[in-house]
Amino acid sequence: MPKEVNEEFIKNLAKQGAKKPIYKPQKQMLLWTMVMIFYASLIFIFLGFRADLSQKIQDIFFDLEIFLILATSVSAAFAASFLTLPDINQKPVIKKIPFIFLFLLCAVIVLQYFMQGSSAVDDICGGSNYQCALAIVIFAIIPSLIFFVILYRAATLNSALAGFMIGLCGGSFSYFLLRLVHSTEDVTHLFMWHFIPVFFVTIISTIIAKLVVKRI
Amino acid sequence: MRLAQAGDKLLYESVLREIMPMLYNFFRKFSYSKAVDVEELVQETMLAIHQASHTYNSDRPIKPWIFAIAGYKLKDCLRVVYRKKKLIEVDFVDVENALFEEDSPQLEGPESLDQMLEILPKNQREIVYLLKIKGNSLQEVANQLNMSVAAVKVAAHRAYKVLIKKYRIK
Repeated sequence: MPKEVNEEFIKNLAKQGAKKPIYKPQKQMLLWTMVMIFYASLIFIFLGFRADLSQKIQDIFFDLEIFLILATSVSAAFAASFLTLPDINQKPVIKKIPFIFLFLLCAVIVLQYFMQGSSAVDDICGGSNYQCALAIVIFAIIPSLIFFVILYRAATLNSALAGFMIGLCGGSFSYFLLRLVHSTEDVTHLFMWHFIPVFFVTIISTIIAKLVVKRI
Repeated sequence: MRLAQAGDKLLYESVLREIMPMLYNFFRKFSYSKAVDVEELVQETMLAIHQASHTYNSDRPIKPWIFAIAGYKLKDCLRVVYRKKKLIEVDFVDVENALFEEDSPQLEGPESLDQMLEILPKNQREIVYLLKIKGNSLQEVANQLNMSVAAVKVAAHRAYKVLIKKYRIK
């Protein structure tokens, strides 16, 4: 192609100018954290903490579970904010960290199952159990929505993974909130009506991101 | 680039001018296949860089950001190339049979080329028609339409994007 054509092409682009930069990932995270603190406070004010929270805090499995789910949520939020940039903010390792916490959380739940025992699957099906799953989905909307807005304005090169991380971040934060609000001891219930819905939210979020996020 | 993001158009122009040769060098490595049009790929990537210029984090070096976009565009291009390659791998007997059929059915609906082009604005439709159906060169089209070659190229790119978006989904 002649040199003049390239010259003119560059001039055309330069005439439009570079776009103003979006918030840096650290700033996005700060914003998300502040909104989440406010959001969690609102939920605790309206729904209250679970009655046995002071006892549960002394249970090492419960503490581990809470720590790991919060770590999953925060690390997924970090990954989501980095994935909004084409170069993942030049830290690709960030997208692997949530999986480590998620794996550890699975291990804690399985360990809890063997140490404390649980009901049979049939016993926890039906009834009002579905409300927990519904709560996970509903609580996850706001944490996920913030990143969806950021993702839509940014330019990700991996919309499916970004959507996955957004869903994981929202779903696990929702799990964290529900664990502090709703009293349940049954590990099978926890797995079926709390843990699996997190993945449901993640899958839905992945599909939405794949369909909605524009390509550069 | 930080200053360009702040609105300095002259600096932005010089940044783009520096990026272009880097992209040529990067894509040239993959030009062993004639299916990869380096010129087009460079321009597509430049457009993508321009569209994503707000996502560059000025705390980080710029080259990984540029090459992340370039790599993505290359993968996109290769995907199209392999898809096309797949399309032409048809049984020769089937082609022969189709050629000697007496009444081959007329294409209808969106398969009709004219209808496909109808979704484009008049100017873009004309450009695509002259370039891809008549087979004119960029220079010839530019002369005919009294436009610059770069403007023809940009309009053609926009038209291709619209066509891809519309018909790839189906």
